Amino acid sequence: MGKLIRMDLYRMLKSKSFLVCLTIAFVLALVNAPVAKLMYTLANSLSSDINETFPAEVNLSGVLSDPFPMMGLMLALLSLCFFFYADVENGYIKNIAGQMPMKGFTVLSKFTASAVHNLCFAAVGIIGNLIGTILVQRIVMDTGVADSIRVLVLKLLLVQSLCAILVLVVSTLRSKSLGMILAVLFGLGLTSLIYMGINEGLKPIFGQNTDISSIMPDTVMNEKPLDTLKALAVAVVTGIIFLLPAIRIFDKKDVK
Amino acid sequence: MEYILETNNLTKVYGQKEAAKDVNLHIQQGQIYGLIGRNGAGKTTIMRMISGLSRPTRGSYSLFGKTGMAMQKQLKNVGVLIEHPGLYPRLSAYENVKIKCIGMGIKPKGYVESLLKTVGLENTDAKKGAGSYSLGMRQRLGIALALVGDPKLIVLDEPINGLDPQGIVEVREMLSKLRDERGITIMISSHILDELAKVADAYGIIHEGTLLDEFSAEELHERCGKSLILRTDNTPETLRILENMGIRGVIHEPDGSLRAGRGMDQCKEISRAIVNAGIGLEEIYLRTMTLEEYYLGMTGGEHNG
Repeated sequence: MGKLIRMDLYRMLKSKSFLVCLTIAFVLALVNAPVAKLMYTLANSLSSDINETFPAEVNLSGVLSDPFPMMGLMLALLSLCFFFYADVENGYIKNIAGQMPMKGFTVLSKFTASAVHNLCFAAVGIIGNLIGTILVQRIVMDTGVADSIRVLVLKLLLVQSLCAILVLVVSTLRSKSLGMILAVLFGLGLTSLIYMGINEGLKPIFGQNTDISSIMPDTVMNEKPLDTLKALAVAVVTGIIFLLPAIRIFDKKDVK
Repeated sequence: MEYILETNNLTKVYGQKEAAKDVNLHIQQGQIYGLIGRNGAGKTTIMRMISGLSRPTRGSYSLFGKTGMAMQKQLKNVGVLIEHPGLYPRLSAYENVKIKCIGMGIKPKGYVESLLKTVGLENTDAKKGAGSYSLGMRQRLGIALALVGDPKLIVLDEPINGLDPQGIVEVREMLSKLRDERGITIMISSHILDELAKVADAYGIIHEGTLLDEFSAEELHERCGKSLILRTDNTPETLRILENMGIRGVIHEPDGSLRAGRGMDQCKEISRAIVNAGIGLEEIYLRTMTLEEYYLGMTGGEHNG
C-alpha cells in the first residue's frame, strides 16, 4: 500500500495540472489581501457615503484559519479530479490494478495521496495569503493562533471527506465531468440549491425541519464557530460513506 | 503435467452475450502460447480475466498451481499489455516505467534503463513525452511496463500491432529471448499468424468465445502435414492423369493451382506423366500447411485471425 501511495505521489508531482492549479492557487492567495484593499479604495472613491477604512492590521489567526483563500478550494478539488482520472483516462491503471491482490487498493492509495495534495494547496494558500497580507497590512500575533490551527486541521479533514465523494465519482464511476461540476459547486459554495432540492425530497420521510446542509462537509467548514465534534463526525462519516463503496465497487468492477 | 496457467470452464458474460464460454486452456512453464481468433472472438476477454483486470462470470483459473486467495497473490507475477498500452502521454518512457517501478517497490535507478534497453527504447529523448512516440514505440513501452517486477508470465494482446517489419522481427526476437534467457512464459495474441508461428510453442484457437482446440507446435506440424501443389495449362487433363495414378481428392484452389494430399513421393513420376501428355507444367512443389491455413480450416472461415 505504501508503495502505491508513493507511486501516486510521484505521478502527482509530475502532473502538469497539479502544478498549474497550485501556481494559480498561490497567485490568487497572494493577491487576496491587496485585492480586498483595492476594493475598499474603489468603494470609497465611488461613493462618499462609504467611510470604511481598510484595516491597517490583521490577526495571524485569521490568516491561518483560511487555508483556501479566494478560489483555492475549487482549484484544489479540480486538480484532484484531474489526478483521480488521469490513470483511468490513459489506461495506465491496467498496468497496475491487475497485479494487486485487491484492485480497490489503487483507489485507497489515491485517496491517501490526496491528503498530501490538499496539504500542498493549504500550504501555498496560507503562505500566499501571508505574503499578500504583509504587503498591505500589519500582521499581529494574537491569542487565537492555537484555535486557528484547530480550525485548519478540521477544515482539512472536511476537505478530505469531499475527496472521498470525488474519488467515488471520478475514479470508480469514471465520471470526470460530474466530478468537476461537484468540485466547482463545493469549491464556490454553490451547493445550497442542491441541498434545498434534496431537503424537499427528504421532508416527507424525516419531517419539515429536515436540513441536510447542516451536516454536509462543505457547509460545515464555513460555520462559525466551527464545532470540533460536529466537524469531526461529519468528516469521518462522509469519508466512510463514500470511500468504502468507492473501494468495493472498484474492486468488483472490470478495469477498462 | 503441471501448468503455470490452467483455466476451468472460464466464462464471461456481458449482458446477454457470452464473450468467453467454458474456456479450458493450459499453459506450461516457459512456453510462448499463441491465442488465435477473429476480432471479437473472446481473446481479449480471456486475457483480461487471466490478468486480474476482469472477474469471470463463471469458472476459475489457477496461476502457478495456486487457486482462490493464494492465486490472487500470484497476480503480481503476471505482467500485462492489453489492447492499447496505457501510458502517461506527457511523461517520457523513463518516467512511465519509473512510476510502475515505484508502485511495485523496485528501485528504478538502473532497472528502468535495463528494461528500456530490453525493448529497444534506450535511446529515446528523455524530454519527449510518450504521446509523441510512434505506435511501435508505444507498443514497446507497453511491453517494458509489462516486464516491470520481472513477472513469470506476461500476457500480450496484439503486441506487434502497428509495428513496421523491422519492429516485428525485433519484438519476435525479444520474446524468444525472454523465454529462453529469463524463462518467462508468454501468452500472446496476434493477427499476424505467420509471425506467431515463428515463436509460439503452443496454440489455442478461440472462436465465438469457445476454445475450439489447443495444440503444441509439434502437433500443429503433424496435423498440417505436406501437400503437393501443381499448376499446369490444362487442369482437367492433369486431374485425369492424377486420378489414373491413384491420386484422388485433389483440391482445385481459387488461384488455379491444384493441391493434393497424396503423391508427395511421386513428384518425378507425376512431372513425367504430365509432360509426356503434352501438358505445359508451370510449377510443381511440396508445401507444408501454414498455421493460417490450419486456423481457417478449423474456424471454417474468413481470414480475420
